[in-house]
Amino acid sequence: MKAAKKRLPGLALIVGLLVLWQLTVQFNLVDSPSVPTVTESVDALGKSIANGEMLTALGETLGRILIGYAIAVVLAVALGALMGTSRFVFYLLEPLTELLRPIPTAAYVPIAILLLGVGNEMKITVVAVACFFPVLLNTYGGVRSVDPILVDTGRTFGYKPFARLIKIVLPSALPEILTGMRVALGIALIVGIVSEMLAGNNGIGYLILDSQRIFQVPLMFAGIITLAIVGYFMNFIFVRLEAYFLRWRTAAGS
Amino acid sequence: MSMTESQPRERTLESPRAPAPIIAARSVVKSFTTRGKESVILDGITLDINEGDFVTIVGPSGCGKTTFLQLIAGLQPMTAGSIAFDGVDIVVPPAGAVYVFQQYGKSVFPWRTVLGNVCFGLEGKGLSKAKREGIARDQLALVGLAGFEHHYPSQLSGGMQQRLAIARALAPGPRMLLMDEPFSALDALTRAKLQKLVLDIWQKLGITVVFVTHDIEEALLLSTRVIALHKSPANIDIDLAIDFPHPRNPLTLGEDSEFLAKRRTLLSSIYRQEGIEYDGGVM
Repeated sequence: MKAAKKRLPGLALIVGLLVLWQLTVQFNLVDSPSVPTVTESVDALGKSIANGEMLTALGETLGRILIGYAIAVVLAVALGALMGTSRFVFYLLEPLTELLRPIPTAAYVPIAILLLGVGNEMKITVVAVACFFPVLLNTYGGVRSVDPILVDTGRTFGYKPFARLIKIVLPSALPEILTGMRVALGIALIVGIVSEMLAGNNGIGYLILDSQRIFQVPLMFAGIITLAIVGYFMNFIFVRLEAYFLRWRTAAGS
Repeated sequence: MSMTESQPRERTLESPRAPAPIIAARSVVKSFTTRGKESVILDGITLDINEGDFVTIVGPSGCGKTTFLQLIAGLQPMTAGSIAFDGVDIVVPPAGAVYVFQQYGKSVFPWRTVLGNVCFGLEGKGLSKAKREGIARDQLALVGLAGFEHHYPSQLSGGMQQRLAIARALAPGPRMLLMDEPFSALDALTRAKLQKLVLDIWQKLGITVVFVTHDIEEALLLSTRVIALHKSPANIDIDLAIDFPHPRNPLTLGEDSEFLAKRRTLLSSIYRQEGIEYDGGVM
């Protein structure tokens, strides 16, 4: 009840802005052919959901994003653990990652198109590359900062290096790994959509761009609203999972 | 090995019963090289520890007590010499010896519950989960943490965290506990409680304990043998058998004349090395 009360002003602001949007368009305060009203946009959203267009596009987009994201997380955690535990591997790969990391992902897209075409492989790859670096950096950062006493505790109980990695190092680095994964999840959505806009014929990114080109502006807005809602829920689910896995950190008093 | 004539020396290396020692250290050397400069920490320590003994190593700070304990634990490589655990040279941490860290707060796993922490040393041994948890609950009862199974370490006090670390160390049924200043970060009352706990456990389980402390009275209260190291580089300065009968009461023992004499012997060794001098000398 108290938490709901705290949320009230934030919700009221969103509702207020939607009302403002609706009224300014309705009373021709902005150029109405290029901006639909809220009701027109919601109407277009309803129709596109009813005829399956929006959910199909959403499925295509989310499928690629989640596959690319999953590939990135698995590879980045594995390589990050290696970089975090082996000094040699760290000094071997750290300069390369620092060189590649700042390149904006959009710049990879032309190379990816040349190598992989314009299909799913290209888009999944681009998402995976973009998500890889934040997870990698946070993983090796977290692994390197594991307290040596924790590792020695594993040794005195006879745990071998791989068992120590699984049972001590990765759980200890989990907060940092999850931070990287949360950052990467936001990036995945952005890059997935951009890749569809640059090259493709399906997914929500393409739907938004295509409806703009053929002047179906309400549908374009419907796509954007869908992305807002999906992005919100992806983050919501992630934060819930993070709180569950890190419940030991918030457990205090009893 | 500079020794002046006035230093008392009681050697108990050759015990009359002479059972096979659980620890046999031979000419153990440990040195570190920093910026091309070699510094010797341990200078050829030779020492036997008999099974079932409670041996405490004391000495001035920085003398290498903890380093020696870590060598016995197999947590650090030695530069020269050898230490055998039950006749087998130590190269990796030996099964059957568990190290209990001074910094208990950094040694317990914060993401595991109390029960999960104690189960740690039982995993990967082919025991069922029910069996592991059964053993873990017994250890928690032994250290007085029954009822806290599902708490996380962050919900425990420092003394309780060290009890947890002890329960976890005991769970796999070790023959030897290696305890590095386990109570130095605790307040006096909590320390007194844990000293009693460790004494009770040692008597009950009959395991060997090698204990490091800078607290001479703690050493005399707990041990069957106290070894004082001298520093730079470290070797054995004094080796005292402590044969006060059990159960030991710290209140009456603290007034015992033999206790006071031994306390004086050990303290004077440390004071001399730390350069603490009083009129008329430290003896």
